[in-house]
Amino acid sequence: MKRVFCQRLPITAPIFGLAFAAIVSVGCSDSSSDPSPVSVDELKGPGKLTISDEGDGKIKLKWTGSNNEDDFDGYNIYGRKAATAGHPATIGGLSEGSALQLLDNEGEAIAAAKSTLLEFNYNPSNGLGLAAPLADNNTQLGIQSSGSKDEEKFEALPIHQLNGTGEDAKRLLPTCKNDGTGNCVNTTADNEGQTVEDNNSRYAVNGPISYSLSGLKVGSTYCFLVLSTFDRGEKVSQSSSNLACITPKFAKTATLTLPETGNIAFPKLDLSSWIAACGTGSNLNSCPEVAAYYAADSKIGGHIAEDAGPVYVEYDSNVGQVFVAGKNSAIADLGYYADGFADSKLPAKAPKLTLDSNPISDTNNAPILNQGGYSIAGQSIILAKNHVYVFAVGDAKATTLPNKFHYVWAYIKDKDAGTVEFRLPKDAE
Amino acid sequence: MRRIISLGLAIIATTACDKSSSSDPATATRNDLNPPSGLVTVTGDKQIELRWQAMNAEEDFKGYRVFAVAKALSELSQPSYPEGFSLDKLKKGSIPRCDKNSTLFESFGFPAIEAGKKECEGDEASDSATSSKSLALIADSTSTDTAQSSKNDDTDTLPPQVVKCADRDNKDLSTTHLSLKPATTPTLTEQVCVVSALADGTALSNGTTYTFFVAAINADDDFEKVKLSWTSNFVEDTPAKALFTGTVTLAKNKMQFIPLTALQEKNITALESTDCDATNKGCSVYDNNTLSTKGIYFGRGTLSATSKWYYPQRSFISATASDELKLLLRGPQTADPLRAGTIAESIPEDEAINASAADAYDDKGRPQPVYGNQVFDYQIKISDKIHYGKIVIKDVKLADPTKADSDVSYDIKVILQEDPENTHYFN
Repeated sequence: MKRVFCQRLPITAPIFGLAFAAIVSVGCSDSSSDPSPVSVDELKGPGKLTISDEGDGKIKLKWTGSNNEDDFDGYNIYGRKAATAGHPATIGGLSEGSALQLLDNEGEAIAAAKSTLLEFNYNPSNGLGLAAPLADNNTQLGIQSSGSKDEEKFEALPIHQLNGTGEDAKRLLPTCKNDGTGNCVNTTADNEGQTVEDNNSRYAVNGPISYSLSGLKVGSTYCFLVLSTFDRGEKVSQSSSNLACITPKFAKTATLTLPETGNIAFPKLDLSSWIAACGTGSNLNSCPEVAAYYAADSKIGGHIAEDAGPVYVEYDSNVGQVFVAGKNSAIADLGYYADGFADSKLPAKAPKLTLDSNPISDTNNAPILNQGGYSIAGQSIILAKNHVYVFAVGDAKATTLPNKFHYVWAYIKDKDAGTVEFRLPKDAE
Repeated sequence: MRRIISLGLAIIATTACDKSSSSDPATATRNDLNPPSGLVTVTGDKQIELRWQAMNAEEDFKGYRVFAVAKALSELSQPSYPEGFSLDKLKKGSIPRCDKNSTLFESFGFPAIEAGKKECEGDEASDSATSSKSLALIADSTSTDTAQSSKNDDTDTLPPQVVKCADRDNKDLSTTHLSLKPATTPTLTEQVCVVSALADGTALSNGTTYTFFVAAINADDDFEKVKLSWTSNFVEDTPAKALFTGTVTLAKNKMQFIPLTALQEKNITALESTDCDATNKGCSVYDNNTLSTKGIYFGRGTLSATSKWYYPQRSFISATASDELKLLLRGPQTADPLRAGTIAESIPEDEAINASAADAYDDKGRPQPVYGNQVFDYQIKISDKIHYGKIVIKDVKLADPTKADSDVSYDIKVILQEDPENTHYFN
């Protein structure tokens, strides 16, 4: 038998807001409670949540599950845009990396946790932008209540689809269900209410599972957490996954003709101009083609630190193809990654470039403290198959060393064909 | 013989005195006892560190048992339940101990399941996860009666000998009945267990491949009625020794050299050191690494009055230019086991040392910058045998950060990969 925990606060207990008070009273009633946590021995929560960036506002959430409970019917995914971009992010007092606990060790509801969940109120028409909890008359959702408040089951809404429109619109919950192959797909009118007991080979989860989401804005930070559910998402696990956050990047794939001989006008990759064109005009959530910014430079032969750059692609008879950074830029070779940007072993963040003040032309010192593993301008870095590089691109016109760089990631997917995949965070750091 | 306290215990005590084991625990459903998941290993010198994810707060949950055998996974019998399971799928998925899987569990010290006992039961629907190349255990074939994964008769203890877990400081974490007794937690938690011996006390040895799995344990306080969870995924690993641990210190115009052939064959305690030609290209590693002795060079960029693009503060690593020695930067080393990998796991066949093309690896002696927190893989052929190893570089430091030509130093560790397919992550 499932145990549902609720807590009736005394009148003198602090009230966090009208919506929260409503939750408290509703939470102690029957099926209209909102959502009620269930202890872990009845319903296991989800495991570690990670997010992979698939470029241009598309992401994939991945977590592990161990749910064979008869009444298990899927997962609620709560999502929210952070107030400011950047990491670590915090939503409603919950820090990135932490899990939300809805019950304490005595099995009593934790009031603050409900408040945190209210921050994730999802409106299918507005996407992940809502900041305020649901109003009593439900006007924020544009769905009119057809009856008493009790019929509105959720005030802290996970991501969900709607079935129907206007007054007849119905929320399809939980957010998603296993399709039998480890993809958590949006609940449909056909399968809502289906549980492990109805079809365990489809709905049970024993291992990794993922959910895809698109339409996010590059450069904004979004955070998500996952809860296991019973009863069309009305009852949830006492613990959520960790809060995982991501700031989507631009993504582009290019085919570049790499030089195969020396002492020629080696090509320059004008990343500065490319970066400036990303996210503007017709590319509001994307970048223009990289190849348009790759062409032979006017100079014959190898480049030096004072050349404009940012990045040259050269050929040395001894060493082979190399990248060379120009002025106010630097290159780091992160190493071999068989699966490129999908490789789970790839570091999540680009190493940060720090410079000291010694000018390049000072032959006694030169810039010494190129922390982060970056080359310095004029220095060659071997261009190798399946390696991932970070180009730190600073303002080439700056007369003093820049303190902010755009970090462009590049993966040499196919060296023979010159196929290079790029990722670009929206903002310089 | 122990004093007999009760009839039940008397039966156990009697059989415990026999050569045949009475250790035949029941199996709990996954709903009743959450199995460990995500088991990975870290290869060590005569030890293996196991790490797994666990979420256990069940009422009678007691802890975990680690099971180990000195065999590769391919040498074990295939499980037959759930249908479609294979040894390869075991690397990602879990199975129950029941009659169809008995032979596999016997390898780990369990008794054979008596006929008619512990039947694997339920419909064995086809494993819909087979269509997904990235998932092996989503909605695997399970009993439609989720209350049972095997017909259980609550019986008694586990296999008597325990694989002991230690922490990273070598403190014993095991008890009489458990490899590891952690605190319960309702949230997913990583458990860590360092294993240096099998259950019978035989120490792990370098070069031998071991297979491990972990199970959660429900029991009464006396461990007389025990239930075993479904297993974690199964993993293999082969302990390997560290060939060399030391510090590279490079003054200007200096190079140091690790002769890998000598390293494979005997311990060395110091690197070979040599002066560079300061008037020519100085410590340009490329010019010096065409020597016949196969090994790894560490060198400095050169401070030159005429060439401002030599970088004295930069340190380089390079392998001797040879088809029989290859070097590959694998990225940073972190504490996260998912941040490193094995050669066989990540490098396609055509990158192997015998292949004609190996653009990912470097075999031309090209210098690669050393900047700290890096891991390199190498392959070297010695007398027609290919040896695999890792070079870990930590903490590159300039003795005087204001002087580009002051000494550069960093710690390195060279680790042998006895069995590159089963050398995972590393410390």
